[in-house]
Amino acid sequence: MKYKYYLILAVALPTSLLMYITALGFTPWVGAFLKLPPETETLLFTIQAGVGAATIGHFFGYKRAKKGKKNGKLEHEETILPTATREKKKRKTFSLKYAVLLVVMLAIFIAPFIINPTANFSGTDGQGPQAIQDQGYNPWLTPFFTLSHTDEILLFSLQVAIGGTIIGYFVGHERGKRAIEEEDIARLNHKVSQKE
Amino acid sequence: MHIQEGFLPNPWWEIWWLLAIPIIAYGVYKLSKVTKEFPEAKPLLALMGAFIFVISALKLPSVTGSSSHPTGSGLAAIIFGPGVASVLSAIALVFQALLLAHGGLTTLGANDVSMGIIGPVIAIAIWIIGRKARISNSVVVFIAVALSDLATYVVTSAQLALAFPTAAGVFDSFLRFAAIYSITQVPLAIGEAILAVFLFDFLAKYKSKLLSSMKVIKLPVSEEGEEVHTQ
Repeated sequence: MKYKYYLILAVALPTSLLMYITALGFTPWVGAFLKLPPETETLLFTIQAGVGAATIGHFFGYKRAKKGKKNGKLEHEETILPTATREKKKRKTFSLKYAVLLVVMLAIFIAPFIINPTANFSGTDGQGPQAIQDQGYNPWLTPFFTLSHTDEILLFSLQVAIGGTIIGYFVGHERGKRAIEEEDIARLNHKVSQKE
Repeated sequence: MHIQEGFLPNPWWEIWWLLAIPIIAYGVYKLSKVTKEFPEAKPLLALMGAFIFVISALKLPSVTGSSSHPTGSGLAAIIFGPGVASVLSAIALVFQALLLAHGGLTTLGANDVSMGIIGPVIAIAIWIIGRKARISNSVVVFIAVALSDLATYVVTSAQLALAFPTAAGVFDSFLRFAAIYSITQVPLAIGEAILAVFLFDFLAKYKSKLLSSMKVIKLPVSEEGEEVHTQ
């Protein structure tokens, strides 16, 4: 099916978000049973916002590339595939390099919770100023507003979502263009082989 | 590396602002030059801005039991140069200062010097050295981005140490702040570097023509986005 992955994400993301919100006790149905440090709470919200926004961006970027092709506006600006690989294209679905990097990255960000399960993961953004205030210094100017924890979650998620949409759109557009190019090449090769 | 509003006393925030302004101005000049010379690089520019936006909003946990932000400006420096990276960082910092009460307008100069200028300069320096030595692009991007991220926090520690020396002197104070900022940052720098490698490989694969005309990489590239060194 064409939209299989979008569909999976469209179901999985809201579900996980709903479960997460429920677990944190933001809904009236059950009390909070998931206790997370505030910074981690924000992080998980921002990641979900980012993935969702990137998916939507990817969808529209891909569509746009296809539409550009239909209107005949898209030209093959990118012709980088070496001719040898062009003719017989074997798509590699698994790359060891990326798999290793992904595992390392996940390990880096999961390890802290295993090593330091009781830590509060307070931000260094707060610890630095604290150390200064311990010296007896008081800031001569304070921000003209402060955010509550929920506001912070919303605004940080918004920031990640804005960036995620742009990244997703860009990636989708490029991948869409490349897919069209590959289709054309396949068609061309087919024609050539028929003539022969 | 966000120094909060009002946490730099009188002479210091002006000094960092004065240092940052000419470089941001140079970055704006560079930005207009790049967009004129390569109009097709505009989406790439948006992508780099978005990367900084996303990366600098993530408060990631670290093994030390605290959490911090990566910066995201190293990759922008590799592709567009440190001048443009300083402008993109400044945009993200203004957004965070005005909407998120995170960082501040008076400390923006200092924050941009650490995140948008010195970090990117380190990144581009390592990138140039690595290319001269003909090391694989992914490896160079990884090292450059990781060290630029770390350098950002070392600079922040130095900025705070200069403003708040302890009785034992500036260096003692620097070590104290570095203990807060830099050690937390080590795993985050590695994480950011991995993300940057993913994005750079994607660009090398899909935007190789543009990147080579911008003299970032050389054609031809293999299907994995690595350059093929002939000869």
